[in-house]
Amino acid sequence: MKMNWKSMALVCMLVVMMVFTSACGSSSEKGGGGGTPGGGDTGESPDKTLTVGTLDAADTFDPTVNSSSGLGLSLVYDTILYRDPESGEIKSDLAETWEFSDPTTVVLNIREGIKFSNGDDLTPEDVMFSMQRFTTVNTQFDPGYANIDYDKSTIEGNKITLKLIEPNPDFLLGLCNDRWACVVDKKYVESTEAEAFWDKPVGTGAYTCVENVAGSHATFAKKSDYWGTAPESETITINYYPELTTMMVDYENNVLDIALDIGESEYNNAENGSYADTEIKILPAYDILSVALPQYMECFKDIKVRRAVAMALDVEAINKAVYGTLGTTADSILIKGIEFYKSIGINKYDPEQAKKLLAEAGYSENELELLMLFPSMPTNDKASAIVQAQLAEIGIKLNVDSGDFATVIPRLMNNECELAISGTGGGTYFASTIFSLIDKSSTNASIRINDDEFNKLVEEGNTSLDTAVRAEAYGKAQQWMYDNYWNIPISYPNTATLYHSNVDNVKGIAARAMDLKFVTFK
Amino acid sequence: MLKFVGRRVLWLIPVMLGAIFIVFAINAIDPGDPVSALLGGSYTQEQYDDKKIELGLDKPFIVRYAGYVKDIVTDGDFGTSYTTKRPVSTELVERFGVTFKVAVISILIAIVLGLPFGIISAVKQYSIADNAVTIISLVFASMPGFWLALMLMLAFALNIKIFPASGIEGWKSWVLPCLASGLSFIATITRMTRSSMLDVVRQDYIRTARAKGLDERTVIVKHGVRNALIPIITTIGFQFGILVSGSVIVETIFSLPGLGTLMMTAINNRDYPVIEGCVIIMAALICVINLLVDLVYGFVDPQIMEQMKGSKKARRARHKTMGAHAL
Repeated sequence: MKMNWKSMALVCMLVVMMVFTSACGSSSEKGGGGGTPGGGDTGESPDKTLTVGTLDAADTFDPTVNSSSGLGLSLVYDTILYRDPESGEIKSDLAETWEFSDPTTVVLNIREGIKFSNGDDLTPEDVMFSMQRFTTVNTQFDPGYANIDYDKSTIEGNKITLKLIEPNPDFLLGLCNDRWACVVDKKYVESTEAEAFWDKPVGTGAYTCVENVAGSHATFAKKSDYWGTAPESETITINYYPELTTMMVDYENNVLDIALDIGESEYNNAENGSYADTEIKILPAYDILSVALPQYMECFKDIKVRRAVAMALDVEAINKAVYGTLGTTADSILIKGIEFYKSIGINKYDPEQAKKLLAEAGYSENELELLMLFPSMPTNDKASAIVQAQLAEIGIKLNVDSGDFATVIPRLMNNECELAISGTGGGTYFASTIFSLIDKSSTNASIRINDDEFNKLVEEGNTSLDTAVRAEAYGKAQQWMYDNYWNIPISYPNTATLYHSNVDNVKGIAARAMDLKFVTFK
Repeated sequence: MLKFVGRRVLWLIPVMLGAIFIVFAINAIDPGDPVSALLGGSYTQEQYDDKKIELGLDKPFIVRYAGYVKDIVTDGDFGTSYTTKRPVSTELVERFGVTFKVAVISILIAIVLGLPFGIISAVKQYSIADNAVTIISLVFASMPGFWLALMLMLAFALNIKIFPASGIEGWKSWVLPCLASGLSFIATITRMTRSSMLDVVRQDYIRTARAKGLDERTVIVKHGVRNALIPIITTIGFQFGILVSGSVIVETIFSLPGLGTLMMTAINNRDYPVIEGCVIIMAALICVINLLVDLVYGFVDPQIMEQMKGSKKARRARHKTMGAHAL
């Protein structure tokens, strides 16, 4: 039978249209959702599959290299100790007991009878090896393990005696960290290539990694012989999204049970009831946005100029514009919520006084011209624009230059920045970590403060084992910063996480550090 | 014929060497620094120097280039990613399939819809059908790719809920990304087919075919479309290259783990081995597509086939009018 060309064209079009319209079969979305939270089709979650969406990128499960989030790490690995995200209390994990026997000696007793996912027994040597790897594999990133004298540290039976080179009161908190304190299998690591960490990590954690698809998702299966409390979810899938819109569409379509760190606009939508059947969890990002005045700049040696810059900045307005409802106006250089944080006071906004101070310092209008240089990201871009406008009001001309991280960082290290926007990058839980970014030990000169009084206070806070002494020293350091205007705190960003009401017990110290093994199903 | 293919394959060698050299040179003069990107905003000079040596970036440009080419040729080793510590070849293999699949399906959609639309438009010039096709083509051609992708997602994934917004499992996952990529190319192919067909249908040999009493279908399909195909095939080959190299938008919006997103991440991190690997794969693919396009020319036009075979008859025929063979 001959068909004319019109019929052929019509048939072709119909075939294509049929492909697009006959779409009623089974769904097999990324990460295996399926119409209802938890991946079931009936509203219940018979298979107890938890699907979580994050804007983080897929990463390796090598704790020394992983730089995105600890989500997957905390499923595959156990940590040496555990810190309750709600109470902040240190609890046992792989180490059954722990103590500071003197300011530089830490004694850990490692549990017996625990096995890695490949069947190897956990030994104290694995724990020591996991810490020491940080001093060899990734020398730049040191969670305090370089402060261990490995030659003098000993292992007897299940007891590890760690000798610290210098006292470090935060050492135990470091042993709770979801990345730094992960324990790897020494035998396995030494016998395999580094790439095995990508999708075949071996840990003692509650889950094993089934697959880790770069740019897409990672799937974890529950271990039947886990030594600790068995989690509820049989399978956990973490979906990685480069685009927030896509993640939120998947959340709304119930492909996801939990959407992590959704940003302000989606948080507002959720608050307004745009997402049905949803609960919201707000957690601090453990980050601080601040404006830093580099000490290498001659003009800032005069406290009047520093004070003028500080008084020109309406930090409440900046906080509102940058983070909106998810921002808290900063009132100290330490982040609200961490130990030793003390509310010192919000920076005073007084542009008229700022103008006078600038004149007293000998600067006429528009005489002072500065360059603000920073890695481009929405928060930095917004903040810099407002800072630029507010400084212009008092006659300081601020030029703004930004670029991608790889381009800007070498320039920052080269002291090209004349007024800096700084932050910790999030997940900064200790006072000592924040101060190490700005005290004399900081490698970034644009935010480094080299002042004897300040450094002495920080050192005292960093090294004393007496909590009261630390609180006093850190408190004075925070006050010193407020009085000297080298670093003007602006905002403490928070994060919002959405989850459907079919899941419960969504907890973690921060949005991107949720401990998914605790999630339960209602 | 084989000689022609062999010659073209041999040409791939200097093309690939040139592509690698260019991407190496761009990486070398690019202001971004992979060591700084890896170390973050805080490092000592010693840590910087150590990392630079570890990555091999302390060596001169030409030594790195020669070493890279040697590793590819002798071991098929594209290096190791700075960030993930995985072999680049593994990442490329994982990602290539996704990008290739989207590109092939998108181009098929564009051909299957664009070709008939173009033919109808040309044959029925200035009719309602022609005007409708022209308007629809212009609408799709003028839509930015990211916007179209978002609209498709909102319509079909969020509102009608018949296709997923993300993922790579199951045929449904591919529909929206392929439509988003393919729709704007339908317009291109439709416009090209229309214009090429309009040229052809005015030729003497079409009039002669009609005068011989051939039915309209034979005239249009056998004599018209076949002679109009050469520029259309060129366009399709060209569009395929654009689809592969411009896949990042669709991959980002639909969360697809393809070469585009891999390359984008690698560029942000200055992950040189991954950038170089992606460029090599894309360049090789575009070379292969060009070769295929040339071969298809041969199948469509016997004159070109003869030229490929290198016969004297073909060289003589080269001067004859295009399309005369059809009669």
